Amino acid sequence: MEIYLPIAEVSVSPILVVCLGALVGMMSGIFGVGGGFLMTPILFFIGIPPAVAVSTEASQILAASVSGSLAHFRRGNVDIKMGLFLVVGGLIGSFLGVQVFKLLNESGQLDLVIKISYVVFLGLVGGLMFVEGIAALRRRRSSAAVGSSQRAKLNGNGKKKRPWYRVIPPRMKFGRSHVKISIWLPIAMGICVGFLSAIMGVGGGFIMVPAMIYLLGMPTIVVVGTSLFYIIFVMINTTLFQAVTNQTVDIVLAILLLIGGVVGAQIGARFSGRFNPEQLRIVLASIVLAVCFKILYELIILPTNPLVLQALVWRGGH
Amino acid sequence: MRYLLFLALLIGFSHGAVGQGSGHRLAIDANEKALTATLTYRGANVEIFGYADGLDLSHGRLAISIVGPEVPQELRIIERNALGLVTQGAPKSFVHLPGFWSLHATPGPDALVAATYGEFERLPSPLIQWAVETSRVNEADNEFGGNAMQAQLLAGKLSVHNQVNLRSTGLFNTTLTLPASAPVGSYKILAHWFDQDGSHFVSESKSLIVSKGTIARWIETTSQKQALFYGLICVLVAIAGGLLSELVFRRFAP
Repeated sequence: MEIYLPIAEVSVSPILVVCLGALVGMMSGIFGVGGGFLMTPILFFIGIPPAVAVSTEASQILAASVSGSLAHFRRGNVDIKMGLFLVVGGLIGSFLGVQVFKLLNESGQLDLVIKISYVVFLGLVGGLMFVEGIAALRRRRSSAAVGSSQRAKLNGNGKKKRPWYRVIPPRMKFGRSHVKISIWLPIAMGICVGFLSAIMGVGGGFIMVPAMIYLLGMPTIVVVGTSLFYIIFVMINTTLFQAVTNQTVDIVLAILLLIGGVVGAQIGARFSGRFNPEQLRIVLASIVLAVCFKILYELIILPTNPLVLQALVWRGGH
Repeated sequence: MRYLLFLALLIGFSHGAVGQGSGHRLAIDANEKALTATLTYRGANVEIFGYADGLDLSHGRLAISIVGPEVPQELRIIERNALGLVTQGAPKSFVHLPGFWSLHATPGPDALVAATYGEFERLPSPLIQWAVETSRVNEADNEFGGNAMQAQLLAGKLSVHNQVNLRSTGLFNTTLTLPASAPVGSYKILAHWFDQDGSHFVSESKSLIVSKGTIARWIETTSQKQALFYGLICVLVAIAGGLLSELVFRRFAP
């Protein structure tokens, strides 16, 4: 049984899409990542045009973020003031990203840019995660003392000199995060991550979370909730702009992904405590690197179909 | 079968000669005048049937072409750039290129028509070579025209089937399976006769109106004509999905 996706203009098995959504959702639940950076390339692999995959994934990330941020909000783990500054930047960045997306689509180079972006980011994130996972596993085996100092560093408890970019005026105190930093820093971060979100169809949590810890100096406990709060608004903006500017959001595909994604995330969250975190990190890094190499392969090997025929005005709406 | 009998009677009593050959008659029709492609992959089936009078079907080749509406299209050839990466070359636009072709022919040697339409060596079938010539592609763009046809073939928008069934007394039929992704609009159905000596004539055209089913049609038109409204619906569906899942899983959480 197959279903026709009216915007993607391809037919896919709905069971396959729901299962893939559930699988990535499960990984999101287990590993605590958004999953957009895995789902979007998987959509490429099953034949969804990259432009549609990127735009549609934004609405699935929106659903997952709404679900996740509510839980964090109830626990008081969202710094709304910091989140709003990030959102301001994110709205600007995602708007710019959609415009660049349109220009790239018109010039026919969108697929290439999306794939190169994925190779670079998945390679970096997967590589770092893999190295970090191996190192953590060794540390755990050799010495517990080294592990505790590393955790203190990750939580931002280490005594460090305040970096110059945090003191650019005007500065503002963010009570929930216990930091007083330049307002330009979260805005600039929002712009960068919002831009990438629009181009790559990701929430950006995998960049935002470490950036909030290391650049903004926020405590880990509020980072995930604030990141999800930011992602909600950026994804609303991205979905709307992609729908209006590029008309590439496929609601049928979004619903299928949403069903699989939310169910998988809840199942994954219940299993997450049962695994060794270092081993989990190595497994996730291996998956990310495998996806990275698959995309790289597509960028290097000439396809069997060397011709791309694209309708300039299609879907006449008869 | 009842369509074939009906057509045979119809042709016998009312139709004049439509082919160019003297005393030859070639007529064609379909069991649908308008059809709606559904949400399922198989789309819709159309039974096409016709009548060839005075033609020796064993000494020539009969082909039926179903040509979709002309859609402005852009062709790019994928090539390797200086960095060794696979990239798309400069575009070539076609204003009058049908968005869908399906060619159905009786089994037979391709050489029958290759002699006449043999200049496009890369193309897999003489029937497609014919399609290139009739696609209103500028003659100076023949190479790109051939590539455009090849691209359509590889994308599944041009298909060739040796599945025209010959019946007794000059009747023939074939089944067109129209995929759900076929462009909407007015399609032309034509019958062609390729003789042993390379001569070719075409029957009169029959039209077939193709539209999309309710949900697909609504999504397509709304996303094009009311893009903001469509975007808002996508956002609301996603937010509602997120809220609902949170509610359901919180309630059933252990």
